[in-house]
Amino acid sequence: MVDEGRRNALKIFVGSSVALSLGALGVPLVGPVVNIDNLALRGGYGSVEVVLCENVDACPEEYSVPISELVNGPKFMLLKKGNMAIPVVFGLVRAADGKEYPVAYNTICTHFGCPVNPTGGRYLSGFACPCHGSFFNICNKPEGCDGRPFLEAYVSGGPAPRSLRPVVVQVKGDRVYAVKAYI
Amino acid sequence: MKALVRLWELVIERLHLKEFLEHPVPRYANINPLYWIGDVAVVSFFILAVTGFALAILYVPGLSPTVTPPDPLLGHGEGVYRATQSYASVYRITYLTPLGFILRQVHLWAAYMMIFAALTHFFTKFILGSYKRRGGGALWVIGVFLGFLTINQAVLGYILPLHLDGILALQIGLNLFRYFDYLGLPVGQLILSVLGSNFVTDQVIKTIFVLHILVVPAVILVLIGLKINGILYGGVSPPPIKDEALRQKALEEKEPFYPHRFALTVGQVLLQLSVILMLVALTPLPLLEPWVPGEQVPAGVRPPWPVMWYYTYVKMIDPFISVGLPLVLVLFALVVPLLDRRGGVSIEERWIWVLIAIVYIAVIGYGTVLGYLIELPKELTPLTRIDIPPEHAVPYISPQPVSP
Amino acid sequence: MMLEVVVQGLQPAALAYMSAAVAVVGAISVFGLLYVDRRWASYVALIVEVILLSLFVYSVNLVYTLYSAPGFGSLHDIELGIAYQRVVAGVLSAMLFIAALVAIGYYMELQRRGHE
Repeated sequence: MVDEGRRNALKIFVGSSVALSLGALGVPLVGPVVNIDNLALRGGYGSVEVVLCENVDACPEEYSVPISELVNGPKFMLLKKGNMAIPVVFGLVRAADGKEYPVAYNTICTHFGCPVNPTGGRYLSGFACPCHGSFFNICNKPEGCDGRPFLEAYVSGGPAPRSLRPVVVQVKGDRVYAVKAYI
Repeated sequence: MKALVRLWELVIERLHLKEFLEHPVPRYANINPLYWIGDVAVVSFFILAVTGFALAILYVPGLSPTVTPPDPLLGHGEGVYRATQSYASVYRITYLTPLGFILRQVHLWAAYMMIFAALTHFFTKFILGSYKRRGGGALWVIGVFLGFLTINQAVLGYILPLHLDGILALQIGLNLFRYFDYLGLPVGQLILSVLGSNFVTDQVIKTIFVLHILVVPAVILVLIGLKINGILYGGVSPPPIKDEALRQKALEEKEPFYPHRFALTVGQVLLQLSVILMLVALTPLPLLEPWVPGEQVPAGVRPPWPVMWYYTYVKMIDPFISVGLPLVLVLFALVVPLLDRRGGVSIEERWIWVLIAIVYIAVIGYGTVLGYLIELPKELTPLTRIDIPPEHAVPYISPQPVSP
Repeated sequence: MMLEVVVQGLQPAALAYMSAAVAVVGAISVFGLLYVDRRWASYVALIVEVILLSLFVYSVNLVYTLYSAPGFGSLHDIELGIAYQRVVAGVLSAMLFIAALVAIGYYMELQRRGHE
């Protein structure tokens, strides 16, 4: 006497126990490869916020550039934090009030991710993406440019959807330190 | 002489290959190219695997900058270029290792042949309606995944030498889907958690390397095995003949695979290797120019031909729509067996689907050709601008001028 | 100052033309003989393969000698190395082609006669 319902129930129970245990087996296989900390990083508006140093006093020298070097022109640096590499261009912007302000931006184009080229010579005036022709202009008016805040690298042309991601810098002594990066 | 023949017979008998090899196959599928272009793709895969073994031993992945001389195939350049360790190792394999030139060129041409054969095979199966027979739909779905994985391998392999085009391909691949406002953040977090960075690092290169030589080929191998098993026990696609009696007659005219079709397959493998080596001898391809992060990026870099159609459509149509184009093509390909279920395998009964197949391939072909021919400027599109609050947009907590 | 490497052997172009001549003549004769008698075709194919093999071994030897020369490294040397390797690829391609001809000829005969 064969009970069809009993047989089906047994098949389902055995099948799901096997499936559950195999699924659980996948956890130590995938777990080490995926870095859970990075999944929990804060962010918004399409960028992830990475805190490089808690405050400028605790910042190591690798995250800084001497101002005397910036006077000659923008400087590219690859900032490393853990397994992350952040391509950053430090530069000096000559504002409309005549003063020079240190800035730094993450040079990954906000369109499709190509590295952008700085434009402007000794003073950084903007960036141009060679892949699909996006142009970023750095706002150099302290009161803002058409609603955009001072020193935002806004899109002045091309297909990029948002302005270039900034790297928050602070001056200490004669060096400019990168404190927080948006990637 | 007889001993050698006896040894061969003994090998195939004792390894029980005789039962596998003497399986009857229909005669109509022997010479007709519509039925063996898939074989060309599989043989190309094995050529890539074997040359890949040697290349994987010789290749050294790394981002540390070094210098290399200019490419000899591009003429007499002077001076040296800054390049990454990966690029320098590929340069060493190609130009400074005896017979390394042949190894790398065979790998490159076999890769192009595999992609071309895979696309043509997809086209022929679409025209023949191979998904209609029992078991054909499953083979079709496996085939779509194989096609996707082939393009994956092409892109991953293109990144490995870390020339300018490769690094740009990697950067675009990592940041492409972060374009969107709300989806962009979780995608970015996922990429950071698996790869560790969204800019090229040693860990990212090693992950790409492991994917290219180990993970994806293993999956491709399993799927190819499933396909061969399906053809062995399910049979080849029926011939596109309308008359029922004629079709049955063609299906019944069978002969054992060994030695008849086996001889033809051996001939095909040898011919394919011969063509690849002829291409290597007559038209070898140079290395593309190197790049190190920090250097100026020249304008006008375009992707290689397997993904050129994607580039063209993304530049011609608003990216918010066209970025998902490959997904649309893959989903449509997967859905075709569900939509085309009416009987009939001849061309005149299926002319609508043949037309759809031609349009599908024409879309890819048109995009590829157009990508090489014309310059596509992208105008300002205000619809796609995303405004960011000032705290996320400025590189300061409060502006600090420095003394000039 | 790097020494200019001088190779004492046939120039790549000369090797290429020689191999092409042997390969073309061999391929045409094998192809023609396949219609006459498969045994003669396979004998001629074997002879052509042996000749091409000797050219192959010679070219490969040249490549190895060139690459292991003490002064190797200049652009001219690398270009010479590439040229010889292209010759090696061409000879190998010809060898595989003749083997493919014989294999496909075997198939054709099986189709014609139903057996060997």
